[in-house]
Amino acid sequence: METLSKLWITSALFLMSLALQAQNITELQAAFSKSYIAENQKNYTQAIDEMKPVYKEDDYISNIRLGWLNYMDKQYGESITFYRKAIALKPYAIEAKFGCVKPLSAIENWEKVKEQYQEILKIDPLNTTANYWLGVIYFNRKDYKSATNLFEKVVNLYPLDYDSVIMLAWAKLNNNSHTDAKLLFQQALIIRPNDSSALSGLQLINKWLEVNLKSPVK
Amino acid sequence: MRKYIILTLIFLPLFGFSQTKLGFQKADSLSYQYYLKGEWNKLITLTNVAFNEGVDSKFMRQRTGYAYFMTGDYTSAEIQYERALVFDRQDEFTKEYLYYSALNSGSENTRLYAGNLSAVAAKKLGIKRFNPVGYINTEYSLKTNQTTTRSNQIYYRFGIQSELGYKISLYQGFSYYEQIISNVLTRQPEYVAIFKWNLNPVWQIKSAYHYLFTNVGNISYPGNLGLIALATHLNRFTFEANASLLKASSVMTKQVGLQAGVVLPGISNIYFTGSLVGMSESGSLRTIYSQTAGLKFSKNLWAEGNITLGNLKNYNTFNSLYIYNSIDPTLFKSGVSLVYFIGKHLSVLGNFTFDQQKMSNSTNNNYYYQYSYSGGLKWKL
Repeated sequence: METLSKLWITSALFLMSLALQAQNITELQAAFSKSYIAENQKNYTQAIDEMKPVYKEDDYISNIRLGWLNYMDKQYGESITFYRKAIALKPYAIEAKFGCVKPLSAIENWEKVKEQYQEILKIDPLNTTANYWLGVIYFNRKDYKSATNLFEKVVNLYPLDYDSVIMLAWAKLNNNSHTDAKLLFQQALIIRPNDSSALSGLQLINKWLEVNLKSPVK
Repeated sequence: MRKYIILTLIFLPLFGFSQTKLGFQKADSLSYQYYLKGEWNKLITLTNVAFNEGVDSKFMRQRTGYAYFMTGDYTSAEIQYERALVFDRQDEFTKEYLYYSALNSGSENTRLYAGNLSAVAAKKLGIKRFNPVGYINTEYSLKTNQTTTRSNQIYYRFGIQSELGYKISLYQGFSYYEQIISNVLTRQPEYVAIFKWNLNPVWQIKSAYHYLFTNVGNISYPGNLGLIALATHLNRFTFEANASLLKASSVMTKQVGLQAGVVLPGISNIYFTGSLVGMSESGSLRTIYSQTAGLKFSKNLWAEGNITLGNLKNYNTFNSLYIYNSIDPTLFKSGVSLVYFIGKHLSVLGNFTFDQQKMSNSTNNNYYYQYSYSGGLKWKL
């Protein structure tokens, strides 16, 4: 009899917890729904407020959502904080790291942006977005060798992607690989005929060839 | 009752304003507007509120640094550019203005920041990695007293500083000291070498060697001193721990010191440095306390005052540049210095110091006073 009553209590508690969980999920879904409506109306402050009653620090989705909304609301410090919480909760999820890149870029924290891309590439070494944008960071810092390595990975995966081909061409040219650069600029012109960037690159290469391959004056 | 309602209505907007958060967009756009208009004080006030709120960005740090630079508060400018560098280590504007700020504030990190400049910027500014002569300096000092058994003291020094890369510098000084005590001439040629190694903007290691070729009458008492110091630079604060060993004749003097300094915000660059030194010699221990305060009077004129308390027998200061090894120990000293910068290269130093000395060969505790007048020149190449 005693065992039976224990079983009843346990079952009742289990059912209650299921009901509570279901209620929580319903509340969460309702909050997200209201938040999406506010976001679509570009009312980001309200979209954030809709999330607040259901926010739990250990909930990955809520942290991502608040990271994004705070970014849209130009609250970059708060946005970074929420994204960092999400990253800590799911260290192998690259979406939180990509999310964090946005507010970090907005405040021009290129050191941290670089770190996030490097972390993404540790998890997903052939990720085209991370390879491309980390390549752009290195290119802007005149580190053409590192930029070339990263753009090459993207071009190998997507030989017809104009942005990667043209960036690789410029990185090669700045790295004094004129022959490779010429081929890549020509490839860029196939993808995008009359492209001004590719044409100016080829013009520079031709000038360089004129100067460096000229026969010595008698 | 009506009076209270009116007062509440007057002050309500103030409370409202103080509670309103600035936010990134407002801080960023307003700081940019102030930057374009050259409203430096408004910019500084605004961004300081923003930074306290956690609103921060590279551009805001750069603008604030520039505002401090334009108002002449170079230490604050340096701090802001150091923060901007955390956001983007490759930003050429940040690196260049960090160097200018350090140069104008007289920071120990100036050469380190020069090493971060791009090749183009370094060439434009005439900065070289190896510079055999960074500066040369000279100092002459005359110490007078009113005793019959002690003549005036003469001290002079020539020095040359070499930059052995962007992180290491070497200062070498050749000096001479002379005094007649009870009809016996004491002559002391000296050589000092001071190495400074900036590991990074925060940590610095210093070491020094000082040789004393002391001659009292016809007898020589050579002395050797070695020093090592570790210094740290944290925004406005500096801390240093140092230790040195002096062996002169048969006496061994151990000295350990702790030093702390602060530069206050503002265009006057008011600074304070305090140091506490422990001395151990022939089994006896003693302490020395020294306090320095200085400020920038105008763009070209700096002033400094100092006071040192304690028995300074065999005490060394300024990384062992000066060793107080006179036979009559100094018990108290206080002085003022003025440094005037003439153009980009030359600075002139003037100093007056008052000393209280204890007469060493007297059975009673006899004291006398010395008045020191010093002048110096420094030529920065």
